[in-house]
Amino acid sequence: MKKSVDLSRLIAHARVETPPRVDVADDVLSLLAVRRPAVSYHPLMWIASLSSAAAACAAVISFVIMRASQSNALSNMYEVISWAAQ
Amino acid sequence: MTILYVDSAALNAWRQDAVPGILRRLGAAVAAASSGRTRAATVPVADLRQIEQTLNGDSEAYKRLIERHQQHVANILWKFTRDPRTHEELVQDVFVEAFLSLRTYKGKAPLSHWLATIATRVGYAFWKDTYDRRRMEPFSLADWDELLDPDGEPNPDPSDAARFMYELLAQLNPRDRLVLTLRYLEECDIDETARRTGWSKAMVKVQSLRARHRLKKLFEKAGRELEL
Repeated sequence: MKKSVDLSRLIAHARVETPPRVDVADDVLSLLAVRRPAVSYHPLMWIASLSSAAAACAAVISFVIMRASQSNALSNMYEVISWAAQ
Repeated sequence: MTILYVDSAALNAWRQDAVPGILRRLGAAVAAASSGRTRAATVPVADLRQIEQTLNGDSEAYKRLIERHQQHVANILWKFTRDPRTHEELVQDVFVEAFLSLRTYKGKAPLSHWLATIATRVGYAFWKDTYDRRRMEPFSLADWDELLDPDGEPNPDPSDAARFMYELLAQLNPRDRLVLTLRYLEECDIDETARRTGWSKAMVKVQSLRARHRLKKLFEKAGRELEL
């Protein structure tokens, strides 16, 4: 025959146990006061934006100049070479 | 335990964006609680006022809140660990998490209920993180014969009884352990267990049944019959 165990009796006693006292208020506030080293991305974002804008302007200007000079590019080259040869 | 970093810039931004709305809501709750008009009357006005002050950046107010509720949280978490150091760390984790999600507290239920839910979540996460069947502490019912003998000591030491229950339930997986801890040691009903675990009521019932079944099997293996 199996021995019977009345767990509810033990549970009732376990419930009245007094847990240890804690005092965590100061520790919690210290934890919350810990600041992650502030890495501000704002200056980097500004630099990146300005660089992109400058690059875009340079690209547009280069394209316009290239289109304008494309038609007589060869004659310009002959002129430069002949001038240099003289 | 968890190392938390609070970004002051983000915190300030959050205060500017979210806090006015929360404060309006809490202000209404304080007024209702003061006049005893609504359900919010069950929420202590001191709690609401200190939450309001905390959200306005008053750390002393949060300290007072912690001091008022820390023992309640500690009592809950003592069922999740018997190691005093870990216990204290878990209590800290609860209040850090509570601070970070204070904006979600609506003031409809007492703060202690809200903290109990966070404490349960923190304790359960701790069990899941540390649960390893292979490294489980050896446990034998025979070691507890004196305590288990119905004709033995009629008034066993509560600490012994609690340690036995802790070690016994540690033989189960975290889910079973959680539901039995809440239902029997915390005396939570189905509704309360569902609220604390975030499970549905049906899930709580099914899980309780399964957990009890596994516990009975544990006793059967040791040649005992469990009455619960």
